[in-house]
Amino acid sequence: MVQQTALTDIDRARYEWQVWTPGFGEEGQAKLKGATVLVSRCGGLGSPVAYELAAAGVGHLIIAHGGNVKPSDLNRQLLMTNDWLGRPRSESAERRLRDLNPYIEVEGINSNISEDNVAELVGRADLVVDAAPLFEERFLMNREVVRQGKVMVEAAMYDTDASLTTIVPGLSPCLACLFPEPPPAWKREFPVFGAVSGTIACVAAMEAIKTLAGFGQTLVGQMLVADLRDVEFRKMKVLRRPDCPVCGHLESPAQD
Amino acid sequence: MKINVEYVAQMKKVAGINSETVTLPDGAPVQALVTKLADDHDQPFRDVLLDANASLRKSTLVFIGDDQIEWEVLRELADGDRVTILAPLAGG
Repeated sequence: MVQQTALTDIDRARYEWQVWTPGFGEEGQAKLKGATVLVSRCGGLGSPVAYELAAAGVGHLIIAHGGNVKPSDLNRQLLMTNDWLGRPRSESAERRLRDLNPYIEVEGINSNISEDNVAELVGRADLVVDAAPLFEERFLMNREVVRQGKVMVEAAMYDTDASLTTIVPGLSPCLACLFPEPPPAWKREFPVFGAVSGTIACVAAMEAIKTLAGFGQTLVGQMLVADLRDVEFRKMKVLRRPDCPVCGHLESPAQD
Repeated sequence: MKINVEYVAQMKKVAGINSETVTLPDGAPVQALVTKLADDHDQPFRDVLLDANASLRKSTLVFIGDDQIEWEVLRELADGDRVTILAPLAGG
C-alpha cells in the first residue's frame, strides 16, 4: 500500500530501537518513511498522535487545525506551547514536530477540515487520523476516506472515556455505520484531561503505524472502549450497516 | 433475571451513574431492557437514549457482552448478561 523509501544511516541510528520490533524491521521503517499521514486537528488527541508519528519517522505529516493557541488548550494540546499563545496552532504544531524530528516533512494547515479542503487533503494522504471535536468534520472525513478508499483511524474521547476503531472502507463499519446521525446533545466543549486524550492517542498512533507498516492486529471491525476512571479497556465487535448511505455500496470480502 | 448495564460517555452523564443492575422477566429481549431504562430514568436520559418516536436513537450503540447487536433483530437476554450502552463521542 505504501511505497518504501530507502533509509539513511541517520535513520538507522535514530529508529534503531523500534526497528528491533518483531514483524516491523527496516522494511517497516522504510514504509513509514514513505508514508503521508493526515491528522485532522492537533488538539488533545491529535497532538500526541502527531508527536508519536513524528517520533516514529512517518515521512510526511499533514496537520490540519485552524485558530490560535488559547490558554485553555494547554492542559492537553501538547503541540501548543505557552510562548505561542495567540498565534496559529498549526505553526506551533509545525515548530514542535520539527524540533522533535527535523528529518521528516511537516505541513501545518491553518484551517480545519471542511468541504473546501477535505478531498484534496485526504487525496494526498496514505492514511488519515480523525481527531476532530465535531461530528460534522468527522462525517466529512468519513465520506471522503470511503470515496477514496483510504484507511482512517477514528479516535474520540469524552470525560474519562475514549473510543478507537480503524476504518477500512468495505471491510469495517464506517463512521456512518456506527453513528448514522449526529447526536443532538454533543457540544464542542467537553471535560478532558490531557492524560485521557493522550492515552487513546498513543493507541491511535500505533494503529496508524501498524497499518502503514503491515504488522500486528488492528482494530478493524472492533472498537476499543476505554474507561480511565475505572481503568478498563474492552475490545467490542462493531457492525457494518448494509443500508449505510456512505459505504453500503461497497462489497465485503467473502470472509467477512 | 438480573442484567448488568454499563454506560459509556454521555450516557454516564445523563444516567448520573456508571452502571446499574436491572431485574427483568426471564427471556426478556434487550429491547425491553431499553424500554425499562427509559421508564426508570428522567427526561435528559430519555432524550439521549431515544428519538422523537421513543425508539432507540440510531447512533446509540448497544452491546451484549463484547458484541454490538442489530437493534432491529429481537435478541433475548440471559441472566447475568452485561449490556453496554454507548452514546456517540467525538472529543478530540
